Formats: sequence, structure tokens, C-alpha cells
Amino acid sequence: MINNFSATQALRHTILIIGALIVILPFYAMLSYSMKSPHEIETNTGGFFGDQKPMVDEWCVKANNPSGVRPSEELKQSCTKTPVVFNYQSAFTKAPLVRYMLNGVFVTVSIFIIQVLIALPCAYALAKLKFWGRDAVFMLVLFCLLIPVHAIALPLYIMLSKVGLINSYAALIIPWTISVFGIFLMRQFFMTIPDDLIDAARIDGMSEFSIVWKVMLPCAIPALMAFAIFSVVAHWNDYFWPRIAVTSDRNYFTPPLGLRMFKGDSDGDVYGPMMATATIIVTPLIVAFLLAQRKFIEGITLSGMK
Amino acid sequence: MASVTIQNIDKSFGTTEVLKKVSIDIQDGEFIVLVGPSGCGKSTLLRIIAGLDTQNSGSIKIGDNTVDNLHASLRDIAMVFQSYALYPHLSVAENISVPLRMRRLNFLQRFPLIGQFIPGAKAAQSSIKKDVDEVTEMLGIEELLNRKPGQLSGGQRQRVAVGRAMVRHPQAFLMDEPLSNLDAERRVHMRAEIAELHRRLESTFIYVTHDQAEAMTMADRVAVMMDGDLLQVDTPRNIYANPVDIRVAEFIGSPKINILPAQAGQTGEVNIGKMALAGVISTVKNSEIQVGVRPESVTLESKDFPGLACRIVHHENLGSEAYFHVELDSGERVISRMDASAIDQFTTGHEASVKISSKNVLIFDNDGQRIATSNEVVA
Amino acid sequence: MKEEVAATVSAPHVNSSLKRAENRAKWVSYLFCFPAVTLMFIILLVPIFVAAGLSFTDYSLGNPDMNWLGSKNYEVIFGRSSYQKMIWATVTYVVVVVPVSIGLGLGAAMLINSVGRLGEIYKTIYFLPVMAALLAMALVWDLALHPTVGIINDFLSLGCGSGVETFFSFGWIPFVDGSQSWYATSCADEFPNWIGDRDYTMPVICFIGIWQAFGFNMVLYLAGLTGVPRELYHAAAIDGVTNGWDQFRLVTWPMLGPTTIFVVTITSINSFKVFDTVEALTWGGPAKSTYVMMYAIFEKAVKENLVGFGSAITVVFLGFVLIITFTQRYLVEKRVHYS
Repeated sequence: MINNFSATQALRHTILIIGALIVILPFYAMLSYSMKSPHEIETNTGGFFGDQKPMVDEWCVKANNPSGVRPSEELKQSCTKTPVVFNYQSAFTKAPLVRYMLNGVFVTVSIFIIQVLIALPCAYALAKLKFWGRDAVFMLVLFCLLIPVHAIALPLYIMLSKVGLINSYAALIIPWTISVFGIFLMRQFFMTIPDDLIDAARIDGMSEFSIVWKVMLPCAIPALMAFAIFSVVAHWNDYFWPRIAVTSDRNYFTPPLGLRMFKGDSDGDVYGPMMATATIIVTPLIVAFLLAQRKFIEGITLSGMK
Repeated sequence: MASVTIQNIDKSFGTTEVLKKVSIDIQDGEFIVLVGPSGCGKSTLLRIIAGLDTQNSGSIKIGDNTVDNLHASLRDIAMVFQSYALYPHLSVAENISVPLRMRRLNFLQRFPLIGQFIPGAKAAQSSIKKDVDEVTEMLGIEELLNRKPGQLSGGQRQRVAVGRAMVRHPQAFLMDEPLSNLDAERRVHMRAEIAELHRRLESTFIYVTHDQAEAMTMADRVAVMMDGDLLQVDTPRNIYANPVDIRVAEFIGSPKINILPAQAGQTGEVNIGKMALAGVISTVKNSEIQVGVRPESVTLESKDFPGLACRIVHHENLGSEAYFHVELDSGERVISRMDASAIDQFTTGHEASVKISSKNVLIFDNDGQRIATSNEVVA
Repeated sequence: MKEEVAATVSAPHVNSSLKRAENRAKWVSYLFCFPAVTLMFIILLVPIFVAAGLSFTDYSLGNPDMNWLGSKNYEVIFGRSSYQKMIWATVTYVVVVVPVSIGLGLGAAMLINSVGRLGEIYKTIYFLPVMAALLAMALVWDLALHPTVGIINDFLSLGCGSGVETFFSFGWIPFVDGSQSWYATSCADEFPNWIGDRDYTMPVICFIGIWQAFGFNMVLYLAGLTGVPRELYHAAAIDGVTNGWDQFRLVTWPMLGPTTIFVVTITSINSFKVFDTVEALTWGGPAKSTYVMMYAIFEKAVKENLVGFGSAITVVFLGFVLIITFTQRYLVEKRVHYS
């Protein structure tokens, strides 16, 4: 492809740039709002970074002045900070954001690990072992691929409620432990691994169990990475299921829930801290993506092809 | 049918020179084969002739027209690709009619669904159908008209690709290794079919391959290319008997020609080691040279014979003839071709003597250029 | 042959240990599959039956009584207008978001493919929305689209009273009354309340959905495009294809068939599941114009504890999903018949 400068190239770039601006707009807005004072947000002033004129943190004042009498100048002084500090501090203090983030990490990682523990052996059996009922199991997998878990959220909620597991990590994790997509993906991948490798391992005396974890797993790292990306992104960002599974106990909130409650709790003027919370929630995956773009995109492509 | 003139074509990809000042005059109706090892530039040259790639300098003429600035579809050539490049979603009939549809129907007439109602469309479509039927009959693929390429065998697909090329009656046919994807048996069969097609159509065929056997059996003339250089353009007979470059001699002919280091003396007499090669006088005197002799001109004699002493290391029995691989005392390996009965006489592991017939000896200098011998003229 | 028979006859204990190994292998296979199969039943299949069963009742959590309602729930869903609106809202969303996000994904992929190295930057940018939590970004869009505080209306009103307004009022086109154009009236009056105004809510929700989804489709199409054999483009060029449109119709689009099927399936199912934007921004309104099914399930079954009714919606939802997937499987079998 020759890339000399021409009218068509210029046109293509123009279209792409306009598109890029629209795509980036909310990220820009989110970052910018997260650094501005309430006044600046309301009037849309201050450029990207905001003026950073120190402002008085009303919550801080109220916290240190519970009786509600007129606050002293010193109190106001000590509660004065720049907007960006105010926003991000409030994000962490108005609600236990750190705990929510840790919940998110715990839930996402647990889900992935359990998914692998359950899917990998099954995928191996489907791909490499012969046993009566293998086709039936695979048909079952194909059928279950058609069932989006979100679609059956309601009955799952009822079932979990009946065993008293609502408002717990179990509720957040259990429905996702079976990843039919993972089984399918890994099976397709395993089928491309030569049988000879496995036979050699058997001759060397490895048990089938060892073969799964010591032979197949290392060979399947690319597919596993692809699956990891899918799983982590989907579950870190998931809002619907946690919203249903955690009805009252805020200790189990995942990051999106925490953010939503932020909006729900407050009455309007907390856009700054809310945007700061949004930024904090969104940043980990964005940064991970920017650092490992090729892996992400290869992973998605790999899954798509299978 | 037209002549194709290739003048001084230069092509580089980045810093790699892929074609270096290549010029060939292809005659009208000729079947010329561009042959050479992978990476020699032959496919690039073909694509430049077709208009799919542009040269850095030089020009191409098809017939009397210089085509350098013309789009591929306007050069009146057709191409058969190595992978056949058939449109997988179209039937055989539709595949073959694509070039005609693109030319005889305008944009509106080709529009899906409503195109057939545009005036003129029906007439054009029936003329297209007629031409397609004519071609499919000639190629013997009439029963396949409604099948898709995915349902055809390799040989059938190849015929459809040829059909698509033929249907426009182009001035020249370009073929890029069309037989490489077929198995050996099919390949021999298709070689004959393509040669027959050429005789029937009487068009100019420019054929690219890395297989020297294909080149030798099918071509009117062979153009041997290596590393972007055009080494020699000549009839198969001359290429075989009269190569101008040692690389041509080594590339053409199977098994490979035997090359032995030798010396040319004061009066041009040739000595290989201690053995004098009788009957061969080199026109270049007093230097180190290389002697090339094909296996059929090498015979084995008993070890007392005054030839080159050797030991037989391997033999291959092909039924009617046999190849003997021997190692000379001086270390070089030589292959000799003899009648199969010689196996009774010469056993592997034993010693023998190599006799070289002076009739078909080729002499090259140490840079690979052919040296004339005093009773012949080098091409 | 003789040797084999001799071997089996002369070494019986070798034979039976082989058999034991085979049995062990079978046992191991069942063990490996057992957790997965069990979970598939408990977590994926049983709930379908639970939902189906409950859909014929008026079950509520915590309520010991449960009455059989027959098909009453379904009659309400297909009969009462607010639920017809639910189906309509869901279908509208899917019918808008799927083609547009696929078209944009394909367009972006083709553009990026043709601009060389710089394409990497665009690819990264366009993929960002896919990575960012939809809920978070929906709230950001909420703020950006706020009628008075939001950055969008602010930006649009910058052009008021200047050449920009004249241009976008289209008054300079003959026979067009510039003062009645959308831009001019908005400048005079006020710019729309994007999320609160019934005329704009659904388009905005669709827009956010498209914004989030098209990057994913773009990546899949980029992969699909690299899979198109280059020789096909060459053959097409020689056959007379000179312009982009012909090339697209003859080579690119047909070769992207498998990719397109996959993309349509994934995007459709994801569009059906839309929830985050609705729950955070519109609560199904105004006037149930964005009352999508997942939100309805949430509202009826979880918030209002009408579990029986919510189950009926769930069953209808599953029905839709299955219809889509089976239609697509059928189309795949029929049309994508390549080697």
C-alpha cells in the first residue's frame, strides 16, 4: 500500500479524526470534571484542568462541626483544598471506594480462577480423551452457549435467595463459575495440540491430571490470555448482576455499584467526586489495555476466529 | 494475440533490488516460460506486466501500445493465479462471467435486483451467457456450471480459472505457477492440457514457474532468471545444451549437471586433475576453469580404465536406467547415468573409474561465464 | 498376524493392566467433566425451568402463598400497552444499535486498514469504550448531556449568533427557511434536554450503546480483512474492477461473510441485554420509551418483588434470544458455503 499524501488520504484521516474526537469526548469530560470545582462544573469554565482555586469542603466542615453552629474561620481554613484534591479525596471518603475496588479485584480474580479450574479439565477431556457420552457433553456445551447468564439472572437470584446466599461474595461469583465460552474456546485450542505430545507425557508416566496442568496449560497460554481478558473485562465492568445479587449490604459492592450509589445517594451537586470515582474505576482496565494493546486485540481476534 | 515487449525493467522493494534491467522481446503467439528459483523476481515481473505492480523504471509494451500507465483491466491481458483466486461465493458460471459483466454492463445494469430491468441489460446478459457457454464447452466443465469453487477438485478449479481468463479473448495470457498446487500426477496431465490450449488459441502465453521440468516441456522459449537478473532467453534445447552461465546449467536438467574444477593449459588443452580431457580445446588459455558435464555424458568403467579414479557411494535404480553417485579421489561427487543393467557390473562401495565423453562438455570460467571451445560458438 | 495373537496369548497380565488403564482413563474423563456438567445444569439449565415454572404463578419472595395464574402473566405482557412498549423499546434499540455499530465497525476497519501505520492510534482510541465500564461512561454521558451544565449543549451554543449558526441552519440552501431549522430554534430557545425529552431519549441511549460497541466490531472486522486473500483483489483488478464500490461488492463483503455473521450474533445478544444505561439514566422512561426488557425484569421482579411476572418476561426474553441465534445459525449453514 503506497501511502503518499493525496486528497483521499486526507479525507480518510479527517473522518477518522472526527470519529476519534467523538469517541474520546466522554473520557475527556470525565477527567476534566473530576478535577473541577462545583462552580466550574456548573458553568463549564476552567479549560481542561480547571483553575484549581482552593475551595471550601462543605462535608469536611460539617464533619468537624456536627452541632451545626456557624463554623469558625480556622475550621473553614483547614477544610480548604483545591478542587482536584477535594474531588478525589471525597471519592475515597464518601464511600469506601478502596473496599469496593478490592471487592472488584477479589471477585474478578476468583471468578477467573474458578472458571479455569472447571473449564480446563473439561475442555481437555472433550478435545483429547475418548469416552462414552463425549458428544453428548459437547452438545450440551453448544446448547449452553446460547444462554446468556444475564438472561436467567432472575431465577438465579431466587435460587440463591432460597439458600440465603444473597449479599455475599458467593452470590457475586457462583453464577459465573461455569464459563461455557471458556470451555468452547479452550477445547478448540486444545484440538490443535498434537496428540503425540500427550502420548509422550503418558509414556513418561504422567497422570491425566498432571497432563492437564503441566502440559496443556502451558501450551494454551495464548488462548488462556484471550479468555482472561474477556473474563476480567466483563466482570470488572459488570453492573447488572451485582445490582441484583447485592441488595442491601454495601460491604459487598463492586466498583460500578459503588459509583451508582454515589449518584443515587447524593442530591445533585456531587459531580466532581462522582467523576473522580468514575475515573478511578475505569482507569485500571484502560491502563492495562494501553500497556498491552496487542495482547488484548489478539485475544479478541483469537476468540472471534474460534 | 500480440507481442509483449519488456524493456529495461527495474524494480526494488525498499533497498532490495528485485529486478535488474530485465528486457525480453516476446513474440506474438509464443509460449514463453519465466523460470528460476524462489525469490528470483519472476512473479514480480509477471505482476508488473499485468499492471498489478509498478516498475521503478523501464517500460512494457503489449502489441504496439505502451501500457505503463494503464490499469490492469485495460491492458487486455488475463491472468491465472497460483491459488486460482476464484470468487468463493459465486458459481462457476458466475465466476467466468465476471470479466464480461464488468465490461459489458454499466454500473446501473450491474446493480443487484433492479439492474436487470435497465434497458440493454438483457441483451448484454445473453451475449455474456453465450461466451461463457462457449468457453466451458471448450474446457469440458459444462456440468459444473452451478457449483461453487468449494465443491470442486483442484484440477476443476484450475480449469475454471483458465476459463475466466479465456473468456475475454485477451491479447496475452499470464500464468503464475498455476500447477504448483496440484499433485504430481495431475500436474503432468495439466501440462499437456495447457500446451494444447496454447496450440488451439494461438495466443501469447507468459508462464511463470520454479519447476524446470515444466519450463522445458511446455515452452517455445525459456527465460531463466536468478536474483533479479535475466540470465538467458532461448529455446529449451539451447538452454540445455548451450547455457551461457553456469547457474543456468545447474538449474536446468535433472539430476543436476556435474561441475568439476579444471585447468586450461598453454594451448587450451583441458585437464581435470591429472586426467586430460581429450578433444576439448578451450579458447581461454592458461587459467583455472570449471568443466560441466551432464550425467548422461558420464560413464563408469572398471577401475583400471584411464579416467578419474572414484569410489561408488550410492546408486538409484529407476527401472530402465540407473544413477550412480560416485566420489572422486579428489573429493568431488559425480553422478553418472547409465542403463540399469550396469548395476550388475558396478556395486556400491567398490572402486571404479569415471569416463567423460568429450562431446557434450561445457566449460565455464571461475565467475560462471561460459567459455567457448574452439569448435563451437557460444550463444 | 501370528505374532499379535502370540503376544496376547502369552502375556495375559499385560493385557488386563492395559484394560485397567483404559478404565481409569474413562473414569478420569468423567471426573474432569463432572464439575462443568453439574454446573451447567444447576446454573444454566435449571434456572430456565425455574423461570418457566414461576412464570405461570404470582410468586413473590418471602410470600408463603403462591397461586397458579395460567397464562395470565403472558397475556399482560403481550396485551397491556406498557409492556408492548417494553417489547417495542427493546426491539427498537436492537434494530438501531446492531446495524449502526456493525456498519461503523466495518467502516472504521476499512478506513484504518487503508491509512497505514497511523491506523494503530485510531484503533486504540476506538477500542477504549469497550474497555471502560459502561455504567461509569453512561454517567459521564449523562453529565455531558445535561441540558444546562453539560458540555455538549455548551459546545453547541458556542456557535449561536455567528457564522456557524448561519451555516448549520441551512438557510443558504434555496427554499429552506433557516429560522425554522433545528439549530436556529435551539439557539433562540434552548438546546434539548437530551435525556429527559421523550423525543431524544431513545436516540441518545442508542447512541451510547453504539459508542460502546462499535470498537469491538471494528477489531473483529480488522482481523477479517486481513484474512481476505490478496490474490482475489488482483484477480478482480484484472477482471475490470476499478472502483472501491465494485471491489467491496465483489471481494471484500462476501469474504467478510463469516465475520459478519459472528459480529451480528454477538452484537444482537449484547444489545438485547442492555441495562446499565437505562437503569442509570432514564429508569425506563420517559413514559416507558426506553423501558427495555432487562430493566423491566429488574424493576418488576427485584424492586417490586413480582417474581412470577418477572419470570414471564424472562421467558419471553429467552425466546427472543433463541430465535435470533437459531436464525443466525440457519443463515450460516445456508449462505456461508466456502471451502
